[in-house]
Amino acid sequence: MPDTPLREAEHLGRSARHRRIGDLLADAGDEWAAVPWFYSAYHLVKAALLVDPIWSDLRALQAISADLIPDDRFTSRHHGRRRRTGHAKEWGINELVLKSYRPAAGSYERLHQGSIDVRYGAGLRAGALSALRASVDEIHAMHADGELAAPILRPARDEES
Amino acid sequence: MDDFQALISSLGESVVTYVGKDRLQSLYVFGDPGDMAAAIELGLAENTWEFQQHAIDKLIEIREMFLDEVSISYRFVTPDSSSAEATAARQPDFSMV
Repeated sequence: MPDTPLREAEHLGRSARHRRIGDLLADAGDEWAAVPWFYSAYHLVKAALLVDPIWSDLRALQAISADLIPDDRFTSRHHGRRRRTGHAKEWGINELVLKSYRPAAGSYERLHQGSIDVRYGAGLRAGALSALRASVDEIHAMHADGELAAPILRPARDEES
Repeated sequence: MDDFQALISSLGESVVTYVGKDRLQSLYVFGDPGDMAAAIELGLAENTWEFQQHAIDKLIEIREMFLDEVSISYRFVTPDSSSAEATAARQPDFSMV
């Protein structure tokens, strides 16, 4: 967990700011839009993780994965890891999106890869910028519609009783 | 071949199967047994967003399949940077991506 974790409103504020900057860059035809767009999505997911009721329901949480614990929502890693010597799994945001917000996983991954291409690679491939705009639109729409929320699953024995 | 090496080998085979051999120009799968993590580097046969998007969709499926066993990161490389010589000359570091 970071030393000074942001609160939900702060994540939403950062997300909105990154979105605006990304839109301005995209309107100017600059591929760097992929970077703030990705971090706009990142902060929306972080905000959703903070308030999602699944994290206060340990049984429902562990119905998603037996490895999940409430503090996992505070991860700031993109990718997880699992130390071999008896340590618990450390989750990455990408993995939490996959397990908890599956419908958003495609858009989130595209944005992440776009930001990697811009920062570390040879840049965005042709056609990627408009596709990434659609991806960030989708993540924002899902958040606005309350769809960044984990499905509340229950162990099978609950359904039998 | 130990269990982790077998896992990494299986992961590589899954990438070839799911992404499609004809869509890949190069593929390197690096395993980190200490973290039970894998870093995948893909060179695509066509340097297009369509090929990349397809590969991303398939890598999501693969990450889902292997999630209980190994954490996966990946990135795409362009043909010039994906040569065997270039890859062998460095250690993969995906920690910041």
